[in-house]
Amino acid sequence: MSIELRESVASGHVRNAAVALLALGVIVAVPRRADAGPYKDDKLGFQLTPPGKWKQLPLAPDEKWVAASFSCDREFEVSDPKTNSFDRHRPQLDVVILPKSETEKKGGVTVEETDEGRSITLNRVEYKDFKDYLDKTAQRFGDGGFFFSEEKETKVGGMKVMVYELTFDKLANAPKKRWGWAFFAEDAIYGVTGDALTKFEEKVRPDIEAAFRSFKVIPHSASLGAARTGQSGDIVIKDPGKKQTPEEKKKKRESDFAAYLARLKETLPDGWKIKESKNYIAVTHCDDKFTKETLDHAEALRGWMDESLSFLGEDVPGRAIIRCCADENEYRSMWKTGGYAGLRFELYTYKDREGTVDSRLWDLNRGLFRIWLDNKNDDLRGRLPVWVDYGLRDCITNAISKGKKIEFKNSGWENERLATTRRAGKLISARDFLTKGAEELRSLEEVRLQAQCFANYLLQGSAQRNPKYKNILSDYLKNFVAMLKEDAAKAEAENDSDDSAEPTSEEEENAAFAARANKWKERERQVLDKLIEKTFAGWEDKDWDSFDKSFAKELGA
Amino acid sequence: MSVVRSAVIVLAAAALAATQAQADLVQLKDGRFVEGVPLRLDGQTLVVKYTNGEVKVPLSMVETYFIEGQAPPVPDTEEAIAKTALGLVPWKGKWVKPAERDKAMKAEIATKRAEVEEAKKHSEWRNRYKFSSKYFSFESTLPTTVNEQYSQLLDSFFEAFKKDWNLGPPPKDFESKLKVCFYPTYEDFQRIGGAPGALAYYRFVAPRELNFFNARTDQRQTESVMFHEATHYLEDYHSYPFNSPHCMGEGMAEYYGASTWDPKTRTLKTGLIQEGRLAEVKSDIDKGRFYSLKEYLDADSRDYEDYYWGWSFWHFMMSTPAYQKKFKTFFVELARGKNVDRKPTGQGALTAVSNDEFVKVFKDRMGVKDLALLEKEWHEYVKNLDVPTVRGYEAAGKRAFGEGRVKFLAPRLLKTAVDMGSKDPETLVTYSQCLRMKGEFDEALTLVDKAITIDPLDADLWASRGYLLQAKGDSDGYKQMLALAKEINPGGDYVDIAGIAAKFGGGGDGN
Repeated sequence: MSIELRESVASGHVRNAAVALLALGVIVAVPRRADAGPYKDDKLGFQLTPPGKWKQLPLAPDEKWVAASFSCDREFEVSDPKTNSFDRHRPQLDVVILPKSETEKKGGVTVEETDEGRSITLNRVEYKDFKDYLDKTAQRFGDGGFFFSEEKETKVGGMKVMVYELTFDKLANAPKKRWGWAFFAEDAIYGVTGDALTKFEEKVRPDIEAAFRSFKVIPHSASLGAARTGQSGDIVIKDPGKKQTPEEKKKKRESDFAAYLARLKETLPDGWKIKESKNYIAVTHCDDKFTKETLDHAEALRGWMDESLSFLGEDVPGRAIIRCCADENEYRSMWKTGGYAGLRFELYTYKDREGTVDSRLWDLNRGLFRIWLDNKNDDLRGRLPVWVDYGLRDCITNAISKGKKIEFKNSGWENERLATTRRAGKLISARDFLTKGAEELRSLEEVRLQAQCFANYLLQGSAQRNPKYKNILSDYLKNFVAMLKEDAAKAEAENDSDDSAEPTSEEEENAAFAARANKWKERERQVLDKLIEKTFAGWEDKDWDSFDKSFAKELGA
Repeated sequence: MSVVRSAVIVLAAAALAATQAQADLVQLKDGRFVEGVPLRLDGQTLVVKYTNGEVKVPLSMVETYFIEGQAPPVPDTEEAIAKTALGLVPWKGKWVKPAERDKAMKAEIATKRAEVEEAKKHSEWRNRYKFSSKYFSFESTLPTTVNEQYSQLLDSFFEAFKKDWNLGPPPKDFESKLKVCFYPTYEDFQRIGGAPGALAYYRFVAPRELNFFNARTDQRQTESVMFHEATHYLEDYHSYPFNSPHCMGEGMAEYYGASTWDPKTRTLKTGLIQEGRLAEVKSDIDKGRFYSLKEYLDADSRDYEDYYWGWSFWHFMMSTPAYQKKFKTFFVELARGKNVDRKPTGQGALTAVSNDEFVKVFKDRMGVKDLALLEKEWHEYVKNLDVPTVRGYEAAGKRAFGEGRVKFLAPRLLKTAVDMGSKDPETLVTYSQCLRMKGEFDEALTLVDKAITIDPLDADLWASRGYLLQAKGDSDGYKQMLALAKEINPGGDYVDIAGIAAKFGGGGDGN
């Protein structure tokens, strides 16, 4: 039995409601803001006027607390030669809603039967009030050590308002301040919060406070504390007897995907468009050309993965959503909101105008491979031999497309590091990658980059031009997937009896502890040895030497 | 500002009694406040009267308190009866007219209340105390008595270390007094200090700072962490601009972290056993793992083992007469000696040595040719170290529990600690968890109750009591305990993980 910790998310009936909305093709009106005018949300019951020229940021569909977010039109920079510190920061303004149904939860545990087993929800209060929200989010997003430098009660339009100021001044790249006003409505606390580098407080704070003062709570048409999509429960206890077939998995995924997409459309800010290709849905705030290039590249990589890595699993990867943000700020907002549930279906990228050419597709490639692999065979998660895990992932991260053709190309910086490693005589041999365990490999220099080069060598490098090496990666991974299946069947038959044996003396307990401490290493050794035995049957030292030489030659040695 | 050290029980006039529950206030010596809950004095115990139960706090834990509206004692002596008959009332050892008493009492209420409010105000970081000792500049939200105690301790440690390592005036880039930020809880340290996951830190680039917190039930831990971080500062003070390898810095800090300070004789005792670190070393040995000298003497690595195996190596070096002097020379020479190739790190004026240089200098100054022999000697030394102290058993027992050795080893070690008089609530609760797994609920409950007497205002302990009552089948008791925990700390999450595991699979609860 396995226990996983999950993000707290929504219940089934809301999912069904969202599916129904999608089926009818109904898109509920999203709050809109006239240029530089007030932003009004009738559903959630608030309005405010953000500072002029500030732009609305997208929110992840599963975001539970932030109802609207805006970012400043300019970025501020600060450096201090005395402390060698540098920081750049774009002020942001968020509206947060903490419904009483959440802040006054009574605790306790709810247990629900699910398709996977049993889901346990701990009815915890995530934020007891807006001060708690400011406190916890300030800790979570790691802006440095902080304290509440101001806290007072006032009234705005007859409504009780608490005013907070947070000062970030320890282990922060540069001192920052964050301000928050909490409006106490009948059924919720509405909070508005904004921030700035302390150095630019005088410039930014008046704009933020003007927006705070413009804030009004109005009647809301939707119920507050709206539901999210995705799996429910803080703890999921998987029942091995409830293992789904590939068809069942596909059906469930499609249903969840539809619900997620419906909610995404419902929460999409003005100016965003949806474009579709065969396997991907681009939700874009970029120009049509960039969006088309992104979708074309995604389809090319998808085609390559389907064809070249089909042996990794039996399941059929579903469609995925590519969020094309206009800039890094929108992209960061996506990561900061919504939790992890959305990552099952959605990946984020942005039109990078500042990064190197080499790195512009990295987020997109990483996301495409993550979702594809998860769909293809979720048993592989965290189990692949370490060099494959990092090597394959990093190699695909570097994918570029030329038409439908995919190429993996090291960045200039990676080539420089590789050359340094080569000159230092610290290249890792092919045999070492295949035979050494994770602990040993991790102690070697530039191991991750070298694993990426090894994967590239096997996938598209000179190994592909040698009949003896051409199928090494596919054979190796086919054997690995087959081994996993055998192991799973065996474990189910034995019902993990070895692990459940209780020690009957301290000696037995200590022996079990020592065995447990070394178990993963022994298991890893067994897997690696078995893979060598199956994939490289009949190889002698001279074969390994030739293989090593071929790989070393690829690296310029 | 002076902190109230003595308590006052005010004989309230009827007019003042209306808001008495809101006015009562207690500050503990660890800096926590309880307010808005009625208090009652019962001998040497202050009773905090929550809706869901009474919590008894020994006066020895109390910094100051304030009770409004407590009824005056009924006179029962002959003189008292006579004076009362004359319309007089007692006040400060005299018999005075009620109006006079009321006036004086009101003045005292106002003074004491202002003092307690002032102390409460300082519990917010924005209103923190700022003061200086001989060698340090402090910022703290702890009561001034605690601040005084630790500032004296740090000054004494500074002087002892200065003598031990022959320190001169501070390097020119250093402030004359290091800023020390001292927090009352781990949560405050994480939030304000900004170092989640750490227990304390010394910031070794400008502005230099030392940040740590007061472990309220474990003064020894507070001292140990404080000595550890102060050692980093003093090592920096000694070696600047040389940046010692991680293995040296942490090994030295752990070595000095185990020190104790005797305030009566004003002596610092070094070279003691770091019980927690030894427990970690022993745990590795139980797994069949010995950290090699090659692994330890690696200037490029920042391994976690540098803390506990590092402590044992420093202990070995500093406690072995044949090595002690040479090892100290090596340490000084590495930072300041000639013929050592130190290179700039690119971070301000800081310099460092390569790994090859580090090992070369070590072998040279120690006069060691074969590291394997030294390693063998070190491992033998470690194998023979033992900690037959309460703290040693506490540390080893808690570690064994965390490692899943919950049926035999952990309960045996924890029981020994408890039998030896452990006053560590965590030890008591951990042992009670072992007993709960065996179904020995009554014994488990006794241990939790003992933990509660040590730290009565820890809401988690009351919740633990509730979980045990639930396991025993007492649902009402469970609900009451959880409600009490919520009253004490409304922000706490009270989830009985062991109970959930027992109910839905995963062990626990003895059946």
